[in-house]
Amino acid sequence: MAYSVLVAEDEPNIVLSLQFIMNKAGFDVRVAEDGEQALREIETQKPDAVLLDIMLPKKDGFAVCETIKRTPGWADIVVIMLTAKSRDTDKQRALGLGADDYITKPFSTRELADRMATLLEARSGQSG
Amino acid sequence: MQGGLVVSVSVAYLGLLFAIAYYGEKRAAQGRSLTNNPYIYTLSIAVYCTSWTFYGSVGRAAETGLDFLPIYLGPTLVFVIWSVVLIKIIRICKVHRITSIADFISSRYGKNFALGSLVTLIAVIGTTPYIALQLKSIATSFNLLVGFQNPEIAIYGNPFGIDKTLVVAVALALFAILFGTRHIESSEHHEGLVAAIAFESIIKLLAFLAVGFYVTFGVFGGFGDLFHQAQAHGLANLFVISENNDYGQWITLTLLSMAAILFLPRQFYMTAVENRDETHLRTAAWMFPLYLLVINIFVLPIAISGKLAFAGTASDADMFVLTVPVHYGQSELALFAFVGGLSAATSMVIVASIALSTMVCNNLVMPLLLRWQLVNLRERGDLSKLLLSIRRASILIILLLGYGYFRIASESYSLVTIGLVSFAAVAQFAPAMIGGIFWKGGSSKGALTGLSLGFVVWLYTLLLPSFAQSGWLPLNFINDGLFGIGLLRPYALFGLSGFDNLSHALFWSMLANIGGYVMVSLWGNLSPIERIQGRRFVDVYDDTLGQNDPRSWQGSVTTASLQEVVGRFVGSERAHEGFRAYADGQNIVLDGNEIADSNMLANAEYLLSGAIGSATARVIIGSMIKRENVSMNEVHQLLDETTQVIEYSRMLEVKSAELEETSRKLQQANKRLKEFDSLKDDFLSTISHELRTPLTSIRAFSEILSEGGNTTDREHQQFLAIITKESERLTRLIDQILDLAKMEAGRMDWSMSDVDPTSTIREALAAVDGLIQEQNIELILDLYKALPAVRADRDQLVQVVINVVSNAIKFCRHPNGIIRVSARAEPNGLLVRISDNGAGILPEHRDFIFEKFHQSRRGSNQMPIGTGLGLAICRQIISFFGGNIWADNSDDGGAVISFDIPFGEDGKPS
Amino acid sequence: MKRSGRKKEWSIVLFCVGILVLLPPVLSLFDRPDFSFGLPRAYVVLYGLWAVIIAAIAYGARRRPENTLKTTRQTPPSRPESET
Repeated sequence: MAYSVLVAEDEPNIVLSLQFIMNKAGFDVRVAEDGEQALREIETQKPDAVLLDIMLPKKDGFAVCETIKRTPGWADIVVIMLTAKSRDTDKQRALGLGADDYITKPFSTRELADRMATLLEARSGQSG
Repeated sequence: MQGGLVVSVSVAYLGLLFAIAYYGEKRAAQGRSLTNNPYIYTLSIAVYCTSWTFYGSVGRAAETGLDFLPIYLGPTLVFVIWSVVLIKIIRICKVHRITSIADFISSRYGKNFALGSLVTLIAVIGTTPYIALQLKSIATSFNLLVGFQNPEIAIYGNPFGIDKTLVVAVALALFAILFGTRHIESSEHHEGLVAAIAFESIIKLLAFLAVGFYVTFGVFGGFGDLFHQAQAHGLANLFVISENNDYGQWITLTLLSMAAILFLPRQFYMTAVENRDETHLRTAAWMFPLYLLVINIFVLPIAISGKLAFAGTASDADMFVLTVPVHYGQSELALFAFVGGLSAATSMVIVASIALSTMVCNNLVMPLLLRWQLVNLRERGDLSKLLLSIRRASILIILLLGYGYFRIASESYSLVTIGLVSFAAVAQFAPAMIGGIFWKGGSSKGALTGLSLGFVVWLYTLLLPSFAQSGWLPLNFINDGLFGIGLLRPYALFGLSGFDNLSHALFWSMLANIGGYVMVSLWGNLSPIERIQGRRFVDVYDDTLGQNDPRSWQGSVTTASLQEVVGRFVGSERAHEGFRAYADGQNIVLDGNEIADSNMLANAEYLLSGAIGSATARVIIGSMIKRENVSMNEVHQLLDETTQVIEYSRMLEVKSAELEETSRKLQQANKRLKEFDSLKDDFLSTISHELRTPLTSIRAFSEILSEGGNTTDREHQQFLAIITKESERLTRLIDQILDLAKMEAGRMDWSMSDVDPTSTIREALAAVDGLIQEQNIELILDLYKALPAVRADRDQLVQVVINVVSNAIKFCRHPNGIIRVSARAEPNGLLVRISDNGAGILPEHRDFIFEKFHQSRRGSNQMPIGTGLGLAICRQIISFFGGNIWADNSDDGGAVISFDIPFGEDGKPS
Repeated sequence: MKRSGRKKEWSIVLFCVGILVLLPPVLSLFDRPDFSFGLPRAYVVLYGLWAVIIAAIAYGARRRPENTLKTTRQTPPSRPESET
């Protein structure tokens, strides 16, 4: 069964590209345009991974990440933070909130797909 | 000549002196001062010329030629630097109400009693021979004049049953008492005394010149004749200073006389204490040396004429001024010369005795009486009478001392030698005085040590040997030294030989004096009061130090009792006056029951100083308050805080206010810098974000496309279009960032001109027309045709309209969007309003939307993506044009962006 | 009242010159029993130098309006005396 990935991103062109890349990599892709919508999508159907932009409208990526990692039963969701901000403090904050990886825009499409795959495999290896 | 005549003339002359002094006092009492002018002042300083000058110079010139001159060249050199030394001493005397040189030194070194009394002792011991010298000259000249034609009268005969010299001494004492101790305040001026002394200076000058003129032009045929005859008679050795080029004594005498003109008690008294006005010194500075020059012109001619007249006989050269006129039968001239000599002698005796009596009273007797509690301050009674009595008694005693010395010791010495012994004693004051006014580091212990050592050496190398020569001490004391120790021979101390006695004594005494003064001063610490006084003397021109002692007296005495005690010394009327003047100066009301504060005590001390000297005044105030209630540390602090900080406090206050202001500004600037820094940080972070966003799409789709094969044709086309669009967005973004940066930095190239608004707006709308058509937006134009020109950069104005309309396109209703563009003339300029029918702008966003990178997320997805810089750029441009741009909502809820631009120079609102 | 330094400089220079010419070795240059202007040379030179020094003091001590010695208390606001 294919892994499901939630793309939380407000820039339409970037969403389009991520959708395409994830589809090609064999994931089921859903899209959320802001933080609140992202959390609703997760509630509706828990994805295996979330590609989470930090600069999201309504509720930013940090808050979403924190909610995911604190909510019982959601902690095993792989969270990859996406950001156009390259400051170290942001990266530290994201990892400190429990994000599994942190990728700076612009990113390499292949590297993004590879990391996603690696992280998902590692998670499934842990859980059995 | 008849003894009776000479006596009559002498008595008449003294009577005249009394009359002049009396007249002077009377004039002063009427407020019409005789003496308050520089000429009288100069003549009063000429008390320097005593019988030594009148008789002694001629005697010396007759023996050794021109080497009598340093005694007058030295003072001339001192008056050369009048503006450095004399004026400072005078100023100090005025500021501190100094009454004598003893008071000066004592006051300078912390109002030290021991120092004052030591100076007094040295002055008395040193001056006594000098007074004796004057008495001797009077006696000798009298006897000579009377005896010349009456050989039956022995030279020291006693035709009236008592010694005439004693009579003269007592008469002079009487004069001094009458006119020198009139006021209790010795810092006050004695007009009668000064008038009489000035008169005496005129008489002695005229008498000497008369003899000189007679000799030069009456006996000889002028200077040339006189000198050539002298040469012909083998007296050419008198034409030089020294035949063998030995100038040791010349230098010594120059130095001694420099000290003498400053520090002889009578000179100090006349020059500094009796000075009425500092400006008088300006005249005296050259007139006094001129007086000296004039009175010395005929010294050598008279000496030569005497040598020629009395060649081969054993005649006393000291008396040539008298004997030469007598020799040529000029009795009247001789009598005039006698009167001149009398005037020279009496003026010295009078002033010296007054000056010394003040010192004895203020610096010796009163402090002792107070210390031994023989005078009880707490008892009632007028002490000013006691003070005057002490002073009068002192005058009498000093004159009797001089008389005694004259009777016992003056036989074996010439006038000049006695005078020089006195000069050498007075020279001992030089280190403490000169150091005292130019060096703050001198201490009372140093001055005491230096003075004591110098005095002892003077005693041992000059005075005692003179006693030995007078037969009071065994002569082998001179030849073999004390206890037969060769190194202690008084004329060759420690084996030093080759000098004359005077230079030898001066060398050793000055070595000991200066050495002791400097070493001890450097060795020990200055007590606070020494430091204060040092500062107040050395920096006497410094106004910031103030008149009063910054030292803090603290005590528990009431103002009334303080005034009463001061009144007992200076008279209650004067005390009342002094206290009232002080109160007026301080703007306070005197309350007798109030405890006197430290300033009040200092004022009392100041008032007392004028009457009884600073040291005694200090003792009195000190004893009244029982304790000087200040610890060392406090005084040190006071000193530092008061004298130094107060000196600069005004400046500092100003500076510190400036500093505070500056530091406040700095803090503000710093705060703003920090804000700017964090703003810049945010800005860079935002720019980075804004640039990365299109880059992300471009890179992602490029990679997708370059993988190849996985995309449909449709996707292929779509992705390429996105790449193009995002690239354009990126370019636009970069351009706008650069524009904005340029504008903010003021480096934008503006081409300002008068621009027609209508055509400009139409041009801008044409640029966005495609987009408007595409979105099916209805554009309503509301433009007046004849709008006045505005002052603007046309391209930038187009940019503003494009940016604002693009913004409206983005936010208007979709579909059925309506955009209204209107422009009209207002009094302030052109007003342009661009409104849409969208959801409007939240009030809290109205100011933000013109900030950089403020992006409302409510835009439609189909719209070209804004950079977040458009409105920020608009604001920059409009501001540059001198207008405003703002946002509000229209009545139907849509957003309205308005801006105005001032008209151009030709533009008029229609 | 601060005192101006100009007068002091003049004084000190004059003082040094005076010391120089009135003390050896300069002194010994004219201290000979010769005659100048029909008078003994040392007599003429010494009194001459003396007179020059006095003139120089008088020159230095002349009153300059901006440089008066009077204390403020004594100076009425009158026209400065012109004795220059």
